[in-house]
Amino acid sequence: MYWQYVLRRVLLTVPTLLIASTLVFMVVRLLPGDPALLIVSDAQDPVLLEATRERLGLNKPLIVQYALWLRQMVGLDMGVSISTGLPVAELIGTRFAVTARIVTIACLVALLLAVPLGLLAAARHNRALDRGVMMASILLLSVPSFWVALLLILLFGVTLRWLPTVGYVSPSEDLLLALKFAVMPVLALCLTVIGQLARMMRSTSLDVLASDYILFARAKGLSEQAVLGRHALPNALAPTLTVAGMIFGALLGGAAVIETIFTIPGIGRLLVDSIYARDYPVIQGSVLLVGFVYIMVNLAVDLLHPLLDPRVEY
Amino acid sequence: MRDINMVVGAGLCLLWLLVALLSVVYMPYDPLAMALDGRLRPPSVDHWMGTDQYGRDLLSRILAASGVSLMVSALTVLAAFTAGVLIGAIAGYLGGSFDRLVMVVAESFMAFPSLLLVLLFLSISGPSIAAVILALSIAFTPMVIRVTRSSVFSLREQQFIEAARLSGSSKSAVLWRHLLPNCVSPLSILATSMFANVLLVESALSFLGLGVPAPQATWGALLADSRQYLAVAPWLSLYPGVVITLAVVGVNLLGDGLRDLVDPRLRQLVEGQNA
Amino acid sequence: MSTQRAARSIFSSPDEPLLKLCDTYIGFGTSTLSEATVRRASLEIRPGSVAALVGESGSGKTLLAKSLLGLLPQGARVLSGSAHLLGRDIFRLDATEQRALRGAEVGLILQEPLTALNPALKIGRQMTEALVMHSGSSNDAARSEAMRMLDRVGIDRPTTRMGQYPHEFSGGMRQRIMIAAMLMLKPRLLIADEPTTAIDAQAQREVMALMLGLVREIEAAMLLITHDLGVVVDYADSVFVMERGELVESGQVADCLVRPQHEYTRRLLSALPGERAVESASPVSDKGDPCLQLKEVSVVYPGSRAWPWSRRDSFPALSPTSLTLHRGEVLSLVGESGSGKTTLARSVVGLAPLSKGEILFDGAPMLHSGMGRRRLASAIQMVFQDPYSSLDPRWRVGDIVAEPLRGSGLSQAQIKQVVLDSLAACGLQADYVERFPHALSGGQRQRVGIARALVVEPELVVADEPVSALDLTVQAQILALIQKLQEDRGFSLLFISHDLSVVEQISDRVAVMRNGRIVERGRTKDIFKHATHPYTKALLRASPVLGIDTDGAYRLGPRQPQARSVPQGWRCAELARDKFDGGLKEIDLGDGHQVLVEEA
Repeated sequence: MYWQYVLRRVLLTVPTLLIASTLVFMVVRLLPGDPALLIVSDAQDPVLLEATRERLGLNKPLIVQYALWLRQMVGLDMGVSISTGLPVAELIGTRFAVTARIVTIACLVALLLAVPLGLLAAARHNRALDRGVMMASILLLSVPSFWVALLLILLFGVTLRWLPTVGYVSPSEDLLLALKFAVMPVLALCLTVIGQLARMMRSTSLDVLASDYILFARAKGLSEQAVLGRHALPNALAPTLTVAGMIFGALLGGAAVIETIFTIPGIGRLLVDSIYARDYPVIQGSVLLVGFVYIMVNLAVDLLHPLLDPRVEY
Repeated sequence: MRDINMVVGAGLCLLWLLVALLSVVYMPYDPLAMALDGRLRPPSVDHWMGTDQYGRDLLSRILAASGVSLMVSALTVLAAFTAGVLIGAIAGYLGGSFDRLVMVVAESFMAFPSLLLVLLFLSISGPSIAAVILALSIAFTPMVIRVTRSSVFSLREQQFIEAARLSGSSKSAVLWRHLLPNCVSPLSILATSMFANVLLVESALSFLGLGVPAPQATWGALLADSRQYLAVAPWLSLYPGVVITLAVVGVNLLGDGLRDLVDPRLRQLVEGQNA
Repeated sequence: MSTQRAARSIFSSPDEPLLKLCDTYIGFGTSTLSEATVRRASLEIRPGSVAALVGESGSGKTLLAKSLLGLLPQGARVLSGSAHLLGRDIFRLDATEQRALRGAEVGLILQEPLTALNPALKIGRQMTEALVMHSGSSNDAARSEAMRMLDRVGIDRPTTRMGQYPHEFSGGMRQRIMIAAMLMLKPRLLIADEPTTAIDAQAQREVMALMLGLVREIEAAMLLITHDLGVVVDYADSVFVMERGELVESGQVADCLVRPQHEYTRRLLSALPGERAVESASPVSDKGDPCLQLKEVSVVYPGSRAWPWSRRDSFPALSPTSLTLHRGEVLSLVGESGSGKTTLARSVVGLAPLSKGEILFDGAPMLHSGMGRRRLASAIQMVFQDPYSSLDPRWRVGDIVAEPLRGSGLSQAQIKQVVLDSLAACGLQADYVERFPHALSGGQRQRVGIARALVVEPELVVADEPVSALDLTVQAQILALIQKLQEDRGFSLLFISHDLSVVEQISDRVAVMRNGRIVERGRTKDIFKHATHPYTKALLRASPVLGIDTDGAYRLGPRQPQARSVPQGWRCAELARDKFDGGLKEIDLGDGHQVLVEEA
């Protein structure tokens, strides 16, 4: 039963979520210095310090602290940013939306290009197209994305002056301008992803194309188009989508560099800034959010899998 | 095709190693020597890659950084493999609840993008070369655990393992003599791709100013410094980027060559054609 | 058989062949004619006839067949030659014309039904798509034709079935669907590549009969690729024997397999079990004391559980079974995969944990832990099925064979000598010691596996399908080796096989297993001459026997066992996996010939 599989798979994420959150909790507790000291402005006042400790629950046993902390996190009560004074939940929420938008576009563009490229390369195994795709994808996944970003700025921003170099405009303000600002970050992010996905798609397609059912489909006299599109594509797609899900999750946290270059107010840059500023509530909240989303994306991909591939036992 | 991959990959890696070794004994200029009258000079006969905003020779700076990048990546991979292979092999061979525990913890670590995990650890420790290596190792170990564990797991069912058990070999003998030697192929492939990844993450860290601290130059830091002069001195961005890309391409090609060499499916595809 | 032949001749137009293949060379890359994988192949297939292409793996028969579809693997190409089908040369057609030819004129049936259908597409779509493409018929017309074909091959409720995915069908049903999907395109020539190798003995005949019936309905011819001479004798008109890329013998089955001209054909034939074997099988005297005793042994594998708190499903691999193996005796367990024979063998060596019951070795209970395991390791050894995965690819042959001697207290020099002796006994010279397994052929690997098992001079050897992964002629050599070693050294042998014909020569006693139980057992002679259980009879039918007449002519024919009668009120038990197995018992038909029965 599919719903049973869904429930089982959802239940399986609970221990992962718990341990991942424990990890964040422990790291924050390992931070040098007393958290209360960071919050209280007047460190000389012992009464206030003690009251803050009491309020933060720092004098309770660790396990109780963890339980209390977990309840706060679930209730989106993540405290207040030390450097800006804004509520953390609100801050990371808006920042996350910005990152998610850019990363989603980048991944979709990459999928649209990489899937047909990988499939065609496999179909032309060891011929010019295949070699070209393989060389290009090795190059793409080896180029640091932040260098690509610099080159793009140099080309489109400085030399050609086609696009605004750095900055961010929300699509709700001016959609066209927002798109113009988004072109380079999206391009810088998706080139690497194209390399990774095209290689993945090619290698699974090679396996699929070597299988008996492809031989049988060809023996029935089907056109190459039908063999590739109808018979090979659905079978080769599932593993590639799994990897795409993982890359999507990784980029949500890993876009920090690109966001820094283009001065985009995303979650990655927020994280880097708060590490500079030692703004622990924000560090904790944003890491937790990215980890949670990553686990959820992988869960979604896993839940999608049986729908794409009827063989999967659940 | 496969041979070319291997040759080009191994050649680039070897070149990198030689350059890193050479830079210890010889560099065209002192990488830290500033020359305020020769700032932001484009590439020339004297300065093949030009000079930076303080008049330092870019080629010398890149050479000086090559050893650091190589060392950080190599030590990270070494540390991650030492810990990961040990834990993964034991988990895969013993199975049961220890295996389940290890896998849940490993997956929880992998729930965080590696860059994020490294940033998190560095936020506690503050930047230093040792901290960077340690943080990178912790972030990459779970992947090694997972690959080792699944290789051991699939090998466990092989008949030669059963034959060894029937020959009276102890569990540890089976693990050391049969299982681990047969994991070398998948692990060597993982090692190369991880090496390339570590190099990229390390460069990104340096780029963000959170990696190996100044004045020790790294390739990523050179790129970060170049940003402000992108319009006036584009060569400052160009050369370090080319060098990073070449290094990563080299390692990836080497990994591809290794995979073709050991992947039985690919080999079957070539050899099995006369069936 | 003779009626089949007569029916066929109706469609044969005597002079014009349907397919005429001339001097064909197929090679890889830049190979020259003399290096080609298939060399100088010429064959003719008459309309409505069945031609068999026989050869061992690697002989080039599959490559030749694929060339007729224009589906050569990458890198392979036709170097020279022609293949005329209905007046056109297949090799001279361009890609589009070849595609139009596939399915419509030349069809293909594959060996493995589990992988031949696309797992991600509903079978309705997989059946109709090619018909729509070839004949341009409407989707509705194609659907009704597909449903008619499904009904024709015995798939019930075609309307529902059309909407299902391949994994919802059993292997046998998928084989039928594959046949229906190809034959609804009405090809003139059907190429069937080992169509019955992957299915169990009882279903083989049904599938062959079904396929032949359909081929005859559409008046097509068939090229049957097989390694099984029994199938050739039963179904083919003409036969082509291929060895290492060359057709060494061709002609009518009635001539070729009776008076073979080429030495290779004779080798293939003599690798089949002969009638002599039955006569010469040693009469079972009561050999020594029991070496191995299984007392009501059962093995239940735990399945997965749906929820952490729910009970595990369990899968009974072996129902309570008792068995005795005497010292120096050869006992064979025969059955198809899933019959429990391998589970039984693995429980003996301690690789499958017993759920109930007890195993006695030399009269004492077996201990598979601690010191007991060390002692057992020198007393019980196993020869594995797969010569590829049973040798560690990273070890040298010498080390592999020496492994059971670790901790034996022998010196290095002594170990080396024992290893060399063991290898020599298995027909491998001293220079093999330094080699790695990948440099050996399948037969040589299996010799290494046998040398490893015998190096400790075990009292009991368990051989799990030791020849099933090998080619026919190599099978015969390895079997002869095992038999010779057993006679020389006198160890007890538990021999597992899915093929009755393999065990005939070597066994003192045979036990036939099905669905986790022994359904029939007895002396070899009793099983082969007086098979009583229907399942044993089906297995026997699948292994024809070779006779040589006084004038030297070969005679391949089915065996004719005379069943013994089961007492009144009982009948041979039909075992269903899920059925409650109460009320079963084994009854003795005389001389230890026992059969599993249930109340009638």
